[in-house]
Amino acid sequence: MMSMIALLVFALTAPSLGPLLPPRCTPELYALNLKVQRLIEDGRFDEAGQALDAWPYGTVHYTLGPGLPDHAEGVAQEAARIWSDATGGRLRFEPGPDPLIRIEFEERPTVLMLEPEWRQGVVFARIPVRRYGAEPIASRDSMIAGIARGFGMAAGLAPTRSRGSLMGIYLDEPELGKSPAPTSTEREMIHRISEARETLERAIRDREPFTAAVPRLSLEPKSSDAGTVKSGQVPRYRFTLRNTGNAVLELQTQLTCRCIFLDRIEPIPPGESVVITPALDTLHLVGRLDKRIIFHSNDPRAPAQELLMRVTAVPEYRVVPDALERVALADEGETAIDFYMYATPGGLLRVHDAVPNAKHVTAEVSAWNGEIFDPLFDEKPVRRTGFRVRVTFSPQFKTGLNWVTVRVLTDSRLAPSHDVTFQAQKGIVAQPKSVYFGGVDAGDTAVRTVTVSHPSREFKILSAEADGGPFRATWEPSGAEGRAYLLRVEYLGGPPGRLSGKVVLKTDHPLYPTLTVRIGGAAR
Amino acid sequence: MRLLPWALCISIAGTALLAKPPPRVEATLIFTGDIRGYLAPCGCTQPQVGGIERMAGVVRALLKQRNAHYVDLGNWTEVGGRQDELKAEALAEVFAGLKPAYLNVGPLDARLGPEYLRSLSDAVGGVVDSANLNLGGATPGRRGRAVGDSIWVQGLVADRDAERIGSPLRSVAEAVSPPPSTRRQVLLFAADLKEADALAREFPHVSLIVYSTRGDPPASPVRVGKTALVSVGDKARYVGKIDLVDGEWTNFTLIELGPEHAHDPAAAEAYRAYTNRVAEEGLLDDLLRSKGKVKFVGSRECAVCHIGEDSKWLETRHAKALATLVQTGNDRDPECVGCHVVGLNYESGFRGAPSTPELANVGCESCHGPGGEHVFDPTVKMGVAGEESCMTCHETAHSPEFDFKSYWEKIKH
Repeated sequence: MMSMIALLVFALTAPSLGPLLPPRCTPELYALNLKVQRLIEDGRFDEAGQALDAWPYGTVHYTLGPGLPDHAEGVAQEAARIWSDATGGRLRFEPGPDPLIRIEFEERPTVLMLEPEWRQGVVFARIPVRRYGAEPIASRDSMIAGIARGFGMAAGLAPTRSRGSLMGIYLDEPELGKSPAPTSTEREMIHRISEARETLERAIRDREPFTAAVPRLSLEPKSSDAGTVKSGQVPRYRFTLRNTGNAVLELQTQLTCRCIFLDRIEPIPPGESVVITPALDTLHLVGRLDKRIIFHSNDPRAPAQELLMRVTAVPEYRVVPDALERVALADEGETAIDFYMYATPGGLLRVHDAVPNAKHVTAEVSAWNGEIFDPLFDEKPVRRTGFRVRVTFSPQFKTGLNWVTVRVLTDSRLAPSHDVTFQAQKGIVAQPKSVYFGGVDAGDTAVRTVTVSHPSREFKILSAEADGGPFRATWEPSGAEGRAYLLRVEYLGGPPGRLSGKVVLKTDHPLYPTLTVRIGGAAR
Repeated sequence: MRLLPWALCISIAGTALLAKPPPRVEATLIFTGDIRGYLAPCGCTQPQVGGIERMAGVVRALLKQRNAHYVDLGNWTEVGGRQDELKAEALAEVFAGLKPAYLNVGPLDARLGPEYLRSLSDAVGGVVDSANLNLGGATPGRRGRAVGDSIWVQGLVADRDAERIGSPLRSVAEAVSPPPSTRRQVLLFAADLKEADALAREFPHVSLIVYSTRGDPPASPVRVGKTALVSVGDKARYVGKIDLVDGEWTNFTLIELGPEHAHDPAAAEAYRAYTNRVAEEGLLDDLLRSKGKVKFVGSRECAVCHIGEDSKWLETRHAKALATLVQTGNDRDPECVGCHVVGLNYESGFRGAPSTPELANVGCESCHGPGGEHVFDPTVKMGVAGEESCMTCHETAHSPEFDFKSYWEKIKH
């Protein structure tokens, strides 16, 4: 309400100002608008008139560049029609001399960026005709959209990443099976740009000077660090946006993360300032975070400026070791491993329970006090108080290399549970556990390797029989200790279809005399 | 007069010789990294960004340029588990099709173990490597690789990660020696900016460091002396590209993988095969489910009293959420299903469409919490749904255009 009143007061008391462009115009148009206004302000009307000639209006010429597909002229005319409709006939794009837009068609584009760009006073609109070799992908609508986007850039509208709009991206996807059309926001921008052009023309014709309208955005500070917080906390920041210019500053915000919360910012009258207090939700985020807010404004000198919000998010509690490596289980008898949990400085933690996801595994929680090294905080072991979780594998735990997850339940509000995942290796195992060929061209051969190992004792492979398809298996020692072998499985080629088979290994280990390694993939 | 044409020719030739030659692109480095298991964009709202199918499409297109080389920073997968093994194998297939020059090992990949990584390396032509990690094999721990005519690439993990993995070969400081020629040295360093910055200060002769970031990467290189530091963000949302021109790294471009980028057919096939394997191995059935008093009852039970709310719900896309996964072939993927059903992570939650049809789709209890107590005693209050409950699924990566106010209008009851 206050800002509305301030705007009203400003409107009633402000000097006669030149036209204002909306946010998200091209830098080229902002610069041109300001240049013409400055000339008018100085009373240099003839020069202003000459400068205004560069402003796309009336009939604007384009040219169709090399690589012209058959229907190129038709799609360019259609794009011109869309623009003529959108501007009420104020802008007409036609082929002609001294073109402002050069439309180039790329038969085999290497870079798929479809952004038009200004180069030495000309807008280049690159239109892919095909992608990926001979595959035709560009529909008539997508080509119209690409050209219309180039026309729009010449007219002063910056490209966006919206879908299906006049200046956004356009795709050959069923849900967008419609011609590009301006959104209501784009229509308003087009209208304001045309009005600005006409205001300048009128001032030059009537030789009526005015003061150049120059909104200026000043950000204070440009960055802010909230320090260290617990993951899940939501620090707030405070920035001042000041309009140091002489015209109303309009803003559009772009948030680089969904984790940022910011209220809408109303237009800022000249000389006024607005304090914003964006919040940053650190839920599930850990470590140093740099998040940005980008302001697109109608400040002609800096149409895009950004604020940096920094914070270091530390989890409420730590699990040490933070990543358990592979656990080698005894061939016979129980095996137990421990991990530890403690609250980070300033926090409290209670662990209720620990639940493993595998049979013949138990987990027990107990209070604990001892020295521990946490690489996140420490350079040497530190004495801490917390909980120990002891995971015990019974002798019945299954043979092989298996992923095990232990879910720990805590009283933390921010992270009530935590999963600790690791691999448990028992007996002779294959890594990977199956041979996967993926997609193989039919008739080609392919080779995959698998390491077969035991964590603690030597063994010998006696034989390796491949079964179920055109496969061959061989093996060789891997390392000198007799505990690992490299199994080499070859696909010898064959008709298209699913690859499915197995390799059966026989070993001299009394507890693990055989090991089966499955084979999968597809011949295409 | 006869000499005039010759004089003109000589004059033109001389001018041409004196004119500055156009800058020569000696090499183009195309890079990805920190895919962290995000093989495909997830979510029900458009535009879905990222994914290996688009990533492979863009890399393949960029590789058509002269002297272009493709590398990956590492961290293929994130958590550790059978699903991550399947992801790694699918990625190996995609990488193999792109003929990479070097695939670094990140600390997250290392959880797969050296033996597993060696198998993956064999599947992609032996280019999975790291200068300070011993992956075994015939040539363990190569210091680096000559890539094209101008670059020397080394992959590195931080010393602490090499120690943790249990197979350190040499320290980072020992590994980063000047290349065996005049090639420009490029480090793929799977560590954050702070560590990359320190490395650049210690070894100023290194010309380019690709480092690891979470979230969006900086749009322009960080310069430390003459070393350029670049990153490509995480979750397969960008492909990075930088040119070596007259000995300097320039033209850094981040290509955001939006829906305007077509899917690579070979990568799409590899992804389909991956989803089939996830379903065939029954990973959804093996999911760890929390026990306790939490009891889900399903939306039909709620409808007994809340008829109006149920009618409204049936009109929403929430009521058809599982069908969208069936269409994409992800309805047996534990990573996807959680946001399309009720209570997947609980004993009393969704198990499968045949056994627990009442818990399929995003139901009342997805937002209001379990209703087991409320159906027996209506005085037990259900949770209040709001922005916080939406954000558990409609987060940035999955629902990039989520806007609470407008989305709320669609489901308000």
